[in-house]
Amino acid sequence: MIDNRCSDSHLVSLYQIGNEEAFEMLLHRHKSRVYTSIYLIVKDRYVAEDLLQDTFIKAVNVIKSGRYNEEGKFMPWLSRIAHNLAIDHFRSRKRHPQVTLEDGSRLFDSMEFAEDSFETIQLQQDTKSRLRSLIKDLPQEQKEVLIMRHYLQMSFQEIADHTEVSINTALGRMRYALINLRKKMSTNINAYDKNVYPTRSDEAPLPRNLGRGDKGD
Amino acid sequence: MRRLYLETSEEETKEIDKALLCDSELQRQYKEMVAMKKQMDEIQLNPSDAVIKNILHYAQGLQEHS
Repeated sequence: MIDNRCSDSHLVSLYQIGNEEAFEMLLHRHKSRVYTSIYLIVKDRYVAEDLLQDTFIKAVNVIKSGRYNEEGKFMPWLSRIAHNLAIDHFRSRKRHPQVTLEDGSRLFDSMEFAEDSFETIQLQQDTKSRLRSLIKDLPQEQKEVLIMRHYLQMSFQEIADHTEVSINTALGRMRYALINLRKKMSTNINAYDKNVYPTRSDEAPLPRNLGRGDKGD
Repeated sequence: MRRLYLETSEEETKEIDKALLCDSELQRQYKEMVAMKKQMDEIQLNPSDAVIKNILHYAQGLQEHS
């Protein structure tokens, strides 16, 4: 019997002996994280879908040919396939891919909102789009660690091994990525219209000389 | 960072939590990181149904031939 509590390794074993439902569960369990991480690298939804397909096809081929031996670590293995395909694609492009929002629009180009509900929906939508954009625009090394840790669920040690840096470097990059995002998110909000979107009380500027600035992970 | 992503040992977790309780600035920074992490969860995208169907078809086809 397959249910949500089945581990990845159990599902892989079931799929190896012919259980299609097991593969379907693996796919649904990991599709969003893998897809999002690919998208944040290649910056194009259609390309990301192609690469997601390639990732799972590659995984299926390996599993069905009996060459899968990750000893229960399915997601890190799948993550490496996805990441390598996305990076290969990214590198193969001669120019930097164009950054476009997934819905093709840039919110707040117009501040004319007819209804509150629409405004609310747009604001939420825009916050998400903005965060995606900010992640895509992070320095390459920070973005790489963030995507691997948060979306591909690789441990910091696995990331350090994969990117050939020390674990402290990986941890530091992740920390700066989150600090950068947090800073830019609050800056961007304030950049629009403080009368419409006043600064939240918990986003007040920090007092100087707090001391704990850059130390520790 | 390792505490945020639940990579710390039980002992390390206790130590960090103790530090968080005693240091309001550290606590504020940690809360910000937690909030950021939550926001990053919320921006996940879903691929189209067509792609999922393609993958399932491929997996199914391979299954039939094996």
